Amino acid sequence: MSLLRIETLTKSFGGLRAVSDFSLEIGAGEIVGLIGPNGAGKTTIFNLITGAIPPDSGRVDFNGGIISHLKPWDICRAGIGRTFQVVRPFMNRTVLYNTMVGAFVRVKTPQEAESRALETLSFTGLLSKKDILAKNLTLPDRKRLEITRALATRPRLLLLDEVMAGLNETETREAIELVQRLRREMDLSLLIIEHVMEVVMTLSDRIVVLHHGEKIAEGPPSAVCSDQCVIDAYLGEEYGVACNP
Amino acid sequence: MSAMPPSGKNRWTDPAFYLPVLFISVLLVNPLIIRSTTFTQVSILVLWYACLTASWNLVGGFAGVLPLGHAVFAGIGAYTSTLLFIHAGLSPWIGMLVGGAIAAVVALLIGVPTFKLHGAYYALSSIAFVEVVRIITENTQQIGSLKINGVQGLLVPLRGHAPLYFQFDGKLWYYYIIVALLLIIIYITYRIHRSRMGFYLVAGGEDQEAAESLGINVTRYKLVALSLSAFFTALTGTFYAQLVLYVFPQGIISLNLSFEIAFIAIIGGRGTLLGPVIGALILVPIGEISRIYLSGSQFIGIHLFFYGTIIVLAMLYKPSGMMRSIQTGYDRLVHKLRGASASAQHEGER
Repeated sequence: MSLLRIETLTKSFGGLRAVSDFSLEIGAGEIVGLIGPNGAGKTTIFNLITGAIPPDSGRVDFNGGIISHLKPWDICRAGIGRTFQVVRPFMNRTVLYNTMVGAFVRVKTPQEAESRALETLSFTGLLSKKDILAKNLTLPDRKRLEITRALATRPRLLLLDEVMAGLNETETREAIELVQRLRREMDLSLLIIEHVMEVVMTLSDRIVVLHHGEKIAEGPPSAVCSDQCVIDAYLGEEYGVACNP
Repeated sequence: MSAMPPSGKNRWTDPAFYLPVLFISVLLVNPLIIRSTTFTQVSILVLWYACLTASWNLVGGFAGVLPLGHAVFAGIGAYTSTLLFIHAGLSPWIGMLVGGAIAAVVALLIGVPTFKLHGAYYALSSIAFVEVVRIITENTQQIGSLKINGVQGLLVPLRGHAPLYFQFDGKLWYYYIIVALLLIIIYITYRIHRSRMGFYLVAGGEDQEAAESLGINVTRYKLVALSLSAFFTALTGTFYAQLVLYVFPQGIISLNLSFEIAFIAIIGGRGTLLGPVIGALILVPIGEISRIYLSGSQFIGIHLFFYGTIIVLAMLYKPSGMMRSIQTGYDRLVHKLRGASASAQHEGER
């Protein structure tokens, strides 16, 4: 049975159809990549899944229950975590404080929250920076903090919105490693939005391509990147050739 | 506080324990040593403002919103206890709690619609709230058989020295009551600040959408904070009514009072435990001294000029309030005293 099941999800902003008739299933332990040109509706889909904006029609089921009418905090409690495209840590607070905020969803006392937060920080490798204010972190660390904070809510599905953007080669490699460990050691399913094609190709079991709010292709990485529609809409002729010699 | 007080009998040698004890002792014996009515009067006002601001800080400081309508809650406290005293003969000690409860409910009712607004829009809506309530009160002579007396306000019936009716023959009594109220409010703030609710208020105040994605129903926590804040503000309002024995709309349900609370918080340090006390210590004496020594002259309203100057300076040089610098100085002092006592002990062992 699939963990997340999206059926004919639709959302319009004024006259613009940001997402139309979008359907998707994600199984337990699966990593799905969501790609498409800017403005294709990728982040809107994240916002619809997490309840940040309500859908016009369609439904989202998670873990056997309907979640498309729930508020963001209830969806987080149900087990979906997310990061934001532009990172949004609580800037004037320490790394530990940020992580404890996430941990409090599952526990009540500050002691329990702290010990869970420390565990999560050591998993993501931020433990040594726990007392630094979030605003003093470098961009890669802020992104890592954003993942840590979401992870502290103990999700079963994590939505990552461009966590690799702006990272250099080494940092990207570390981030890929972290994502793979999330699946392996934390038993997470992931839906990732990413523009760096190498990353999506490496990480994803399956790739979904979005264009003008509609799904134009879905399948394993190799099939998707040789799909003519995808090459025309997003990848460009050169990439198609490179991927399919 | 970054330096945690240790437990056990050794704590009396630890500055992190004895310094706070010392401060509270000074607070308690001060008016006994400096026997001046003016001094006591100004001290009571400083503490009264500190109480109002500490209550305000629960929502205006930690939850990151800027409520400018707290004068209404103070007014609810003052009017409720006074009306109950006049019409039912109920002691203001009990009326105070009734007023607090009413203020807490009113806070929920006004919070539900206004917390949908953010930033300046929320602040503006709270200004409208004070103004509307003040104008209605000023234009209401009576509700049923309940005399409100409009602009004139209400006189608290005198009972002489009657502790059970919250009336005393000396200022000292009032001084100790307001000290107790301040300690209670600060203790509760401290407990909330360190609890899950404290984390949630701060997170929601910094970034509502991010907080909601982490499982926090931000609006609900803001409502709880506002309600609690209104409760204590109303208690402080009753205290005022019993201190001056007279309540009138312009005196308590005023935008001025709301602004003063916010100024004190900003200068002391929003969202810090003792910022409200520091802010009140700086601003209130300036206001009072200039009122006492310069009023009646051509300098009417001069204290507002001083307020303005200080606020401009604070915004320029200490935008996050005085508390941070004071905290740093305090930590350094604790460190120094600890170092001194440690080396003294070391000497002794040798």
